[in-house]
Amino acid sequence: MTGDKKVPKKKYPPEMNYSIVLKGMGRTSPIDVTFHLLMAILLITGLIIDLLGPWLGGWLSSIRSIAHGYVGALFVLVFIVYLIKVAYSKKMRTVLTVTNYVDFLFYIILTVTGITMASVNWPWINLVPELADALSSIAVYAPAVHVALTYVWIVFSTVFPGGILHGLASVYLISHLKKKYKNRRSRVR
Amino acid sequence: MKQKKFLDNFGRSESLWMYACSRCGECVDVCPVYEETADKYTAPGFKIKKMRGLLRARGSAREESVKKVVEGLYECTLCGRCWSVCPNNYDLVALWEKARESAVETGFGLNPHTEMIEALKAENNIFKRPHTGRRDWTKGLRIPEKEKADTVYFIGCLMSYRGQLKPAAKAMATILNAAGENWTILKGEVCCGAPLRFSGGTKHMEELMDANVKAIESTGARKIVFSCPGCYRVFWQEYSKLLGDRVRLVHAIELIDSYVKSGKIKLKDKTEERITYHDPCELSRLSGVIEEPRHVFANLTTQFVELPGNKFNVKCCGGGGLYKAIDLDKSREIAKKRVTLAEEIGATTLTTACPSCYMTISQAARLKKSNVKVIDFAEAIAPQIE
Amino acid sequence: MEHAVLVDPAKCIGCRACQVACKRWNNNPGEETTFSNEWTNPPKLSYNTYTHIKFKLEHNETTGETKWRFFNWRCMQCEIPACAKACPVNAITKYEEGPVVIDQDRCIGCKFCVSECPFEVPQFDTVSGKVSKCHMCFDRVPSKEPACVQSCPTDALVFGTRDSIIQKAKERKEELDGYIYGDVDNKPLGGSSFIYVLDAEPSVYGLPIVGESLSPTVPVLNLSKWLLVPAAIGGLAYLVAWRKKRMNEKEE
Repeated sequence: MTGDKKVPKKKYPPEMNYSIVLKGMGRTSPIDVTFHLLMAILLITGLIIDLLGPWLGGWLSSIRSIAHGYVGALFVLVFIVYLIKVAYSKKMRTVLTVTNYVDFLFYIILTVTGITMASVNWPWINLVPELADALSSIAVYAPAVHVALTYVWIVFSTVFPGGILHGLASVYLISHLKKKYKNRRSRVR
Repeated sequence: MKQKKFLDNFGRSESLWMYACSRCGECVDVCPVYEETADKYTAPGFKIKKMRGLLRARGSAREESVKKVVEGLYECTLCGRCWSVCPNNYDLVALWEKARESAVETGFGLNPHTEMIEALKAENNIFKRPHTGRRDWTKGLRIPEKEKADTVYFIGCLMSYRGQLKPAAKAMATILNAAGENWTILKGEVCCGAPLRFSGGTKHMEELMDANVKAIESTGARKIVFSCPGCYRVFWQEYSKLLGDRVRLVHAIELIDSYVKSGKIKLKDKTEERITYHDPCELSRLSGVIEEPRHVFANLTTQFVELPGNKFNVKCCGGGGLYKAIDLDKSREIAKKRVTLAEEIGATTLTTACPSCYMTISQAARLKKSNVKVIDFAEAIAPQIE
Repeated sequence: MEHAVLVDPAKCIGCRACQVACKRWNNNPGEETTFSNEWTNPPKLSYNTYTHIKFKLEHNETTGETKWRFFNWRCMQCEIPACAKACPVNAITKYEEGPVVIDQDRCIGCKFCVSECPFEVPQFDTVSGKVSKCHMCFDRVPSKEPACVQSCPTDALVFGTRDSIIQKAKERKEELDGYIYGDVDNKPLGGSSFIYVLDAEPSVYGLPIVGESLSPTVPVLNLSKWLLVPAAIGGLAYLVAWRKKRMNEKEE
């Protein structure tokens, strides 16, 4: 348990807005927040590079190396911790669905291909030259798999209730509930 | 007319929530029922997962799987502990209630509950006892029954029909008289409708609500006092729309606290009794009455001890959400844990402000042959009034 | 008008004047190298080395003869360059005159071209984070021949219009009883602007047999983004259907 929820229920229905949800996520599991935040950054920067590349060109150089590259490296570490957490947490295994595990498989493949591409970049080639050698056999397919799989994942996790649909539903729900608060009852008047 | 399917009553909010649920699993760990049964169908997060599956399958869901989910839905005390840890702060209690409502509508409702709904329709109480006997408990007590009064004391089914709770009602009457309140009980009182919410018969609530509102409005009361947090919650959440802003709704604890603060009742010197207090979920978590009982106890005794796992994150006694009708033994096991905790901190008296909690915990204490004395909150106050 | 370069390894004497001329024209610095079993230095293409002569020593056990083969390894300047198709920022362009050029300002160093090139030509630099390769002296052609061609003492490299080069290649093929790699016999990626007349099978020189069309990974890379379109249309259709259903429910 990490701290108490500080929302005394004096209003009905209870409030559900972005600050409460974000605070709640931070209280529940900081590693979860980091995981999702990094993933969002990676997805958005990746989409920017791939979709807006022809127009933006060289501007994307730093986005690729820092926002997609170093953040990606951080994500790999967080993702490993996250996977260990899932493996050792009975409560999470109780609530996760098959789609979630398929999602994890997608992330693992994306991570491996991403590492393959990054392994020949500075500083990794200087730090761990063995990594580039070990992964050189899949280097030919890495970019195509990395990019195509991202789009396949977007479609997959929207059609089946995976990560994207979960995110869309969260955003829509929080925005939608605001209307409901107009006739909220409070206990003390 | 189209055959209704389980979960057909889910609107946009509930359907979206099925997907928006963050699958963090926090609710699984804290659920008092899951802790006791270890059956994953009772784990809140797992129920959401299964309900999402049913919602996606729509018509093609197998009957057995629906039945299993419904059984899991009823193995729940509706204490809202899952809601208290939910990072999204989604109203899970309302979700469980809505799912139960759908279960009843589609004929999946469990037997004790459907019977209870019938009893409420016929006799306006949950015990299937004659409605005419609702005020039998007042015999021999000086309970005012006026046409007009400033304050209405809403008794509730449990206190009206269960003999064990008579001392509690009597103590409350003593306190109200001591404060010089112009009060009455309702002649036409019927069940508040909270059990209907719990069992899934929400659509029958209107008749009960109309009857109660009519009875209250005829007295011209400005204040309604509750002993039962269940009634209290359904009043401030639902009845307040009908009663308007004119009527103040207070729980007995809030009222006693305001009396002590304003000096309307004077308490004797502080005793040295080791008293502890179990927060009823409906009152502390779901209604937010947390600090008031502590103020009162601070004036009552020098030896107030806090029960572990209390206040907002209180662990349910096991008596909520009609869980007792489903699995009495498990519910008592959960209650025994609360009694054990009270023993561990060395309390001689365990108070609570909810008739349902009182019944569950006192039975558990008796079964456990515990030395802890279980009494209602009002019973602790009444003898100390000067 | 498209121009091309004829490469004739049989005429090459391995003097590496082309490598020097290339470095001088492009102002590329020299490289610090170590001793290796490549017979030559620098041992391979790099960010600063756009052209490279591969030394290959052939020893025939039965006759006891020894033969050197010199192969000019560099960008083929393909007609349908896989690198350009794979580039997400359109930094690689195929010029009308023949050259395939990487715009260093646009390059973001994603190395998709490195993966897609069947000849392993584009070279990534970890310091600058960019990719470079031979650009057929796009800043000289067609008014002047590329620097390497100009410096070649034995006419192993010949520059001209594409038609005339193919003509020459065919004549030379007759002489050598050889193989034209780059157009007539094998058209890698739609034909290249560097046309090799070989006196042996391409595999002897380490040249891969590449089909005329792109490898499937490139279209996968390019077309996968269109998955978003059916997804978006499906999503919209779903929303419309849902709204319609809700309206119907309300009417009931």
